[in-house]
Amino acid sequence: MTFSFIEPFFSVIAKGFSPAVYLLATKIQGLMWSAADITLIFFLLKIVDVVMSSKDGKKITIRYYLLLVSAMLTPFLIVADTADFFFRLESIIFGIQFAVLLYTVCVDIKIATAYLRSIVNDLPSPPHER
Amino acid sequence: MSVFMKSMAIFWLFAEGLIMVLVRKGLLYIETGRSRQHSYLLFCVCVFITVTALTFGRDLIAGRLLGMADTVFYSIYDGSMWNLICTMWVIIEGAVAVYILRIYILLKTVLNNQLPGKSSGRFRVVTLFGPAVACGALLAGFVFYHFAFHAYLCQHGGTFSVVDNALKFYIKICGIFWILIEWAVALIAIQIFLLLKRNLKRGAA
Repeated sequence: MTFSFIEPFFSVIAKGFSPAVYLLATKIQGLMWSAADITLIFFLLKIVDVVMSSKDGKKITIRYYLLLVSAMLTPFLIVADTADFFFRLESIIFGIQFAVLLYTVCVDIKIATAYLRSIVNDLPSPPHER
Repeated sequence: MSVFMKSMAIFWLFAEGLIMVLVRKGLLYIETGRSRQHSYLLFCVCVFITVTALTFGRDLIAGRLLGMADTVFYSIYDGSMWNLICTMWVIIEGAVAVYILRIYILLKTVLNNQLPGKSSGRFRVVTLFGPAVACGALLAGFVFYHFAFHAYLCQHGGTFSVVDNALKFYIKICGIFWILIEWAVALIAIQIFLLLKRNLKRGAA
């Protein structure tokens, strides 16, 4: 099987995509992932807050602080000068974000889905089921 | 690839997989009131065990079974495994995005006093068959990229740096998908939050 049409692509990548270019691209992408993760987890926590407030449940302050720590560490991704340092810093930042996300999904999913199910159950039934 | 990097890759795969399974469980419960997904769970566990074994079993698979225990082949094997895990992260994140989108559509329909079946019909087709098509396309893309690169190496040969550069470029392609999907999920989460807040205010009024 020949892949001659894609050979020029690999020639350019093999020579031009050097470790320095890779690190620069990773830094840019790392900042964009982290910003997306922070936004996503922040609003997930806000959703949990809404659910908790309807049930008079507990506050989830510590998770907001952990998210803040990961947000404060994110700009340091730009100053990482080696791929190894970048990977370790990225592991810490995303480790915190994943820990918050995983904990929230594991602990609060039951109460959150029960709340959402109760909203869906308020729906009037379709005419043929009445 | 160091043991630390392999461990982090497998940990993230496990964490994302667990989130995907739990979100799907939540979606099923919201939609049907039941959340059993034994076959799905078994499939996910089998895939996870296979990927973990392939990641940590390089010396056995590449060295003893394939008899290709040289540095360049090891770097191709490690790089390809890392890229497979990157592809799986894209698939998992895409699946989570679809599940969250289905929750949002259901909530929006209900809170706008519509019947779920009517307004979400078109979306339902997309969310039912779209993920399977996307998953197949991503895995086909992974296989195509690596086979094409293998063919390139056979014809032109390659040093360690050539292999490293080409395999790392694939990670950056996956990175574009991660960013797009994560921002999509973040935007859906904002929409769900606004819907719930509006509903809470309406209930309090």
